[in-house]
Amino acid sequence: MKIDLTATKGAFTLKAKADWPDSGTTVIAGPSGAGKSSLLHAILGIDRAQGAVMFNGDALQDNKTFVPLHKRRMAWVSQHDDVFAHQSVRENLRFAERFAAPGGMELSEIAERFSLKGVLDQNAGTLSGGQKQRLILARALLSNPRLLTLDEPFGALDAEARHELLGLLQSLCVEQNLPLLFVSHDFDTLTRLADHMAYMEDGQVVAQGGLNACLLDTALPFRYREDACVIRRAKATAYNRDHGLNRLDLGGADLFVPGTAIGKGMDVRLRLRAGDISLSRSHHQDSSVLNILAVEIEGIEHANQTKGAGLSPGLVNVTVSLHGATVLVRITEKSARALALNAGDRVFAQIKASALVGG
Amino acid sequence: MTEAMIEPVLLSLRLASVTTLVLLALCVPLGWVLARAKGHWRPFAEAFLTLPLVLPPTVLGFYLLVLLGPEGPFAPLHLVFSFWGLVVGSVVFSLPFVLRPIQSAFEAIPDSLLHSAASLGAGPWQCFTELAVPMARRGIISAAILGFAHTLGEFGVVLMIGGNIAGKTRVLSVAIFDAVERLDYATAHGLSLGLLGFSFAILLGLSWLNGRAARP
Repeated sequence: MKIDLTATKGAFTLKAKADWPDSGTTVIAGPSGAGKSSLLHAILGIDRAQGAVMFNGDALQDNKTFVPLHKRRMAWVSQHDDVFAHQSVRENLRFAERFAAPGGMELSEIAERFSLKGVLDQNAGTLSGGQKQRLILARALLSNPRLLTLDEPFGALDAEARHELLGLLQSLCVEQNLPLLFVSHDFDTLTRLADHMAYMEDGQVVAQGGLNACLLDTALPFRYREDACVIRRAKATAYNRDHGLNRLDLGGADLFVPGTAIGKGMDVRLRLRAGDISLSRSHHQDSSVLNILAVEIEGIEHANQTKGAGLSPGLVNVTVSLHGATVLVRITEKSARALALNAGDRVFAQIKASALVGG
Repeated sequence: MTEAMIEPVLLSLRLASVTTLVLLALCVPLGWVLARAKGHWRPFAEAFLTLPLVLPPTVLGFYLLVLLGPEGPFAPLHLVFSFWGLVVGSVVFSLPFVLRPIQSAFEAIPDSLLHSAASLGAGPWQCFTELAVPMARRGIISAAILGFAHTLGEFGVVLMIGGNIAGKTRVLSVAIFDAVERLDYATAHGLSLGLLGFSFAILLGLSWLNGRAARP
């Protein structure tokens, strides 16, 4: 998607220029008040901005054309509870189905996936908060959009319900080959979902690129967070039932992750938190840490080299290359000195834990 | 009840029914446009359409008489001293009472809900007929009841442009005035008490309707 939009609303000015892939999942991130939702509204044509929006080679807006929202085929899941409360769950879904282009999912299939089968004839206004969110998302998917957009998805739900719904959303988008554009300032949500990122500040897109490039960007706040991480794709290769361990192939390296069995050959998203990785000069044989992988140090960033909301004193960000993929490691200044770490050194990374965050 | 009493009652009921239907046809789309309008013209339009609420009925009736009368631009329609002239007058007089509740009901529908529906592919007409109108139905029903009751009780405008022609423009309120002038207190009592009871019943029904809406 290619955008170049300007709009003024009171004291706030949106001036966003960006270009991200039409496929996959893109997050519009940034601090609150940066204009993330305003940009999404402008992209959808909810609020009319000056400029151009190109998607899949079509001009949705330029100096000659303005395609109205109902003809853009871009389903929008807002931050609000937008169920049609005067209708039953089935009628809500039917409403979306009526306008859907052919080739989308079936109503019964969607209802099944979103566990709405049992409440189809219930009035939509009487559903619980979680059920309403599921209905709104199911309805959006049923309209068979070319792009699904979400504003702070499921912010009203508790973490567990949100993760479940995000997981379902993710797998459906992959199955349907449906591109996703969402707004979020929630770090957990964006690391779970995003492939690309547009980062906003003061109404402007100040950085954009692949998720990991943004998570590692020294100009952005992510790599300085306490829960800084990178997301790597891995492939399930085996499962040991005795130990309850999955073996994953992470770019040529073997990684063991405990949990229920993942289907062999499945592609998974792995979150590697900087704080869950430590470095050592030698390969400890007597460690409780399962995953000890040879890495090469790419760079070291000390607390005093970072500005503003950077690293706390006494901490160091080490970027290491794990079979060509960059991983962030957070250690103390003291340890970095004791180990005399330098760029180019080959060391061992002990990955204490890693989390699977979706398929 | 005598024929002379029944005639104005039936005329009033007919006038109120026709007026209410015209007002609904007018105010549902108008209320929708006003509720969704963002232009600078909106306050002017609202102030203008609320004027009948504050102006004395005689002022309204006078202007209508000027407009509809033999010297006015609408003279060829021959509306003065006719039933349809009363309808025009009543529509103007009761407009704010019907428009306001309808507009409020439409304003209560969140923008995000309508945008969500549009993002699913629903055009403005579908959003209006299938979402907005059903969602605002309680407001529309209250508005219709208020408009009906208000038209039943009007006097000034009717007298100004309708006069007091038996069977044609002598509505309930005019008939009561007429009876009092003739010192026929029995008729005045009968009609007044009937109107009082009827109006109370309508307001009771309205309050019951609103009470039901307020409950979760």
